[in-house]
Amino acid sequence: MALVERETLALPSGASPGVAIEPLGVLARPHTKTGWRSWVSTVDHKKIGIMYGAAALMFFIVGGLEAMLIRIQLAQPNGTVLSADVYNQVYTMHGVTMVFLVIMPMAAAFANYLLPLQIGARDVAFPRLNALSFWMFLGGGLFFNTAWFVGGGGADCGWFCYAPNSGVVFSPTHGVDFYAVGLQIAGAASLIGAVNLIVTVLNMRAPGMTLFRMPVFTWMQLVVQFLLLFSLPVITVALFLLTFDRSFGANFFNISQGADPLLWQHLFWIFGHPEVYILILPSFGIVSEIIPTMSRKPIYGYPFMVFSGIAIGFMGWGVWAHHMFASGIGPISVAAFSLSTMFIAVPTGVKILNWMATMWGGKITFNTPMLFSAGLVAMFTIGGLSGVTHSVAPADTQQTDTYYIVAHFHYVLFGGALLGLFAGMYFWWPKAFGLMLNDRLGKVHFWLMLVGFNLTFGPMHILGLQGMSRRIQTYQPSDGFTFWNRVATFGVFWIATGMLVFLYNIYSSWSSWKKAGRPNPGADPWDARSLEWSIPSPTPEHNFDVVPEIHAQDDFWHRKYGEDEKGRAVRIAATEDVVQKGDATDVHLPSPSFYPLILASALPIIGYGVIFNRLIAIPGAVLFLFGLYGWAFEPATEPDDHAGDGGHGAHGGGDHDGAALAAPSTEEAHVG
Amino acid sequence: MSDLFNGEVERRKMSPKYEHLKRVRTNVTVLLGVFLLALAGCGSQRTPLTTLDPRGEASQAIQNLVVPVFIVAGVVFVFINVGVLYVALRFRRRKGEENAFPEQVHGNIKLELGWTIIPALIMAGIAVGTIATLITLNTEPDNTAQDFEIRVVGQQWWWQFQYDLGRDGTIDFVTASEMVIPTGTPVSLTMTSRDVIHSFWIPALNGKKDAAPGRLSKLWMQADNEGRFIGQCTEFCGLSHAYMRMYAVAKEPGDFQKWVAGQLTKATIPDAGTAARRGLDTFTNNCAGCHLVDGVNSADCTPIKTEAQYDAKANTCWFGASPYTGAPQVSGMAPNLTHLMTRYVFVGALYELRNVDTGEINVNNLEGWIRNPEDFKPMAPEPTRGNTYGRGMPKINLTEDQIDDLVAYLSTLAPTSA
Repeated sequence: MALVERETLALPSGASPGVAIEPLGVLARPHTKTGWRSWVSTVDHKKIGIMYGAAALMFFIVGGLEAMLIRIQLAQPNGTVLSADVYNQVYTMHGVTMVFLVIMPMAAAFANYLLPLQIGARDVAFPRLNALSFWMFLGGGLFFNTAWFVGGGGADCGWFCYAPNSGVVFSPTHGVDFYAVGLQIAGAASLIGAVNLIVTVLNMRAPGMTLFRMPVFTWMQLVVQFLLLFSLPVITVALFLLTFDRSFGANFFNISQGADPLLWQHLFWIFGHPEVYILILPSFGIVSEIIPTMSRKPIYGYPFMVFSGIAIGFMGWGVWAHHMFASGIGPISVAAFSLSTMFIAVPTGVKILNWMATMWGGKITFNTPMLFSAGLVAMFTIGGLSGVTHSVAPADTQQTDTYYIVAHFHYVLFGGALLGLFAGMYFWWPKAFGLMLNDRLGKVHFWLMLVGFNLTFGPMHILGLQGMSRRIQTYQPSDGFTFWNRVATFGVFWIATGMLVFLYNIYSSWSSWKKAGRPNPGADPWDARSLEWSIPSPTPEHNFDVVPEIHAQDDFWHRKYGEDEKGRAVRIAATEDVVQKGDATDVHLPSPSFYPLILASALPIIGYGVIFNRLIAIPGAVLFLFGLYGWAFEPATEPDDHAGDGGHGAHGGGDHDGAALAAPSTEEAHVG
Repeated sequence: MSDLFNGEVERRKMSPKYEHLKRVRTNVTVLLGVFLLALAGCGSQRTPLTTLDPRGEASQAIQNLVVPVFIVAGVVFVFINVGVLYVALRFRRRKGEENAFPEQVHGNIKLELGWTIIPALIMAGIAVGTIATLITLNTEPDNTAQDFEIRVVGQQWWWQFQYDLGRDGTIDFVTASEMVIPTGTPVSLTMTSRDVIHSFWIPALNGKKDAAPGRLSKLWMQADNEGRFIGQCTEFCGLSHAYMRMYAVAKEPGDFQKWVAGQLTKATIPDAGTAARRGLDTFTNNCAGCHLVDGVNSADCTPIKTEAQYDAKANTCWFGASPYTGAPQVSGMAPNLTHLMTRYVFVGALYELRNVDTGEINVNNLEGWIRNPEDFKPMAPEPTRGNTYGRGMPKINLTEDQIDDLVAYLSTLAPTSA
């Protein structure tokens, strides 16, 4: 750990850093390790990861209820459950919620929890910034949803929110204002998180953990963080323009003032298409961990898995205008984007075939995580193939904005991203909470989801080809859409039942675990391959007793297994002998802080000010400045915390906000 | 015949064990059959918006491209999904294999290259067809109608069709909801919008093209045979997006010319003392602010009194000014009603105005629409934040007598020759 040799920030005066410095923070430093205070002040990447997951699950329930309303409305022609106005809000909020407040934070939950563990680090590079990311995301998401109560209704412009329909003239309630400001806050949170995780992965790997020894999950998350880093600024600009138009009378999207209605579309999709890969690559990473573990084989074609992920990341920047084939962007652009879209299918196909090759010849254990992973391989393929059919631009002019597209992206985002995230939850649940989720209930959950998902979204392929448009709040009996819509609505109840089973599983697994005297699942319940399984479950606060030295890809596996002359794995050491005990007491950890929460909670207040009355922004700005100064003057680590330093040279990631980059060069893995 | 009979005998001789299996198989087959029939029965419902039943050159070109792509995708789908099932079944860990370990294979360069290059080649093949079809669709055919073109204007929440006879840039007449075209001849369309982005889509004749404000985008269409081809706005355009439909109506060239001639005539003033004449007064006082009847009023809401006024004004006013430059509605002008009764649908082409077979006027719909428009489709006719004017048809609170008179007047709105 190269970063940790500095103990406190050196004072400009040149005072010796060894001298204990009185904290300048106004608020008392929180010390509790349990209770709500420990959660709101935590800077521990694991707690933050768990909070990301819990918040995403909460938003998933909200977005899921919205989805059920949509399906109930469309169960019959001329549906009257929702008015057109409310329907437009519900489908918009459903889309935005699922993309920005469910899949992205759920992927962030895994990234936060696992990246430091998989690279052998004690925390992320900037723990307080990490907390800030989470609180900003939560604040932005809640703020966005308060539009229902104080904004005159939710946003009603679709998640894509095309100009000029997003203008005040055409969308007079405050819903779109909440969309613009809420996503701005949540987006900034993701941007901060991306910087944090990139620095973490590039600088804080354990000795010997070279880039090409990193687990595929870490790789995919690294690619995702780079995509976020470059794509979020684009949507940030677009959202600012929209906010200026709506709240300050600017004319960026005012056609009568010479604006081009395609400006928003380009900005949105230059962000929006990399966003698709931001949503799917984490799940690709998750199943790339689970399939080898459950097949008892290493991932097939590791370098190809890594490079295809990187290729998807790069090519993802050159395909955005395939969302605009009908926009009138001209035949040359259409042809170019049509071709680039076709060829992005190639690296995606490489991944699918490599997963199959990993399973090939294995001894596959079909427990819940593996079922969800295999489900992803099968279901995502369908979404990928329908994607190929509309990379064919002329065909897309028939398919775009119909339910065929709705089917396509639900196969990608539900059949791909969500199934992968569920796989990950079942897989890493013991690592995070020290108890296993019930496998039998998990399988029920899986099959309900799989059947329900196909019942709901499979018919949408047919509906789309039959000509049913998207974003319509109803259809006519004469359209002939009734039957398949009924099937789709029927399916959504299967999905809902599956979710109830999942929630029940969480509860019942916990209560029967408690009744059984809280048995520990052990450090390595799946006989897995990466570093997080070499430390106890649940992960000790300090992660690693000793930062491990890495000698190979799947280093932990190779500590347990060698190979015989036929290439079969042979156990060389008992798991208990190679896992850490988690009993180190002298590990220096970053200190908790209230300031990330304070700073983050100021932003929604400023947001209300922008939307309703500038005066409201004043207390927000005051709170923001207070948080900023409090943060700046609060030493990253409490002097007292250094008492036990030394030992194995064990240090946490440390909060070196801004200082980390000045640390010794850490291009490759470094020795601590 | 005898072979079949013998086969039957053979099967009867099967051992009871197989009999049992056969029964299961029969049951499964019957169940599957019933299920498929049920699906087919329900699936065979008429779907007028279908994308898979091309009725013109352009849509046929798309169909010819997409069918082989579907087949390729289908093959890959079966390959992968059957593959996953096969791998899952064959390589699942069986009882007694709890401590068995497979060979630790790390990869194979040749295989990797193979499954990189082969999909790339398949894609390259699809790309060739795609580019060829793109060129076809983006080039107006040589036999495109040279004597007219149509400007398609989207607005919340209906479509206006402006006919430019002679393709000289001046609009000769306008209509709404129904776009009439001659059969057999490709017609050149130019899309634009008065407010937000809409998308023009007649699935039987061609793919979609957005109609965006401040932009013109081109599309051509050709219908092989006579018919009414339904369409739907497919770019989300606000409250009544679902109700924004239109028809392309293909007529034999002779009938088309007759229709054009009819559209070029002006409305006549009903005789004094008739219900229609009282209806015209109601129209002038309540409707003429937004709706035009060529020969009666102009777009700046002033009734036209003389022939000279008509010549001077009507042509420039017909299409409505930009909503941003002071026309009375954000969505531009309401539909031109000059030859209302030559159309069969109204209110975003969603409701029947006249019976397609008998031509009989659907008085219920017409009266109901005038009485309370929001029963028919959701709109926002009241002024809102940032918008002095509403969007859509307001409720105008006419008495029942006025409504009767108005309907009587509207019923006269057709070329006298038609």
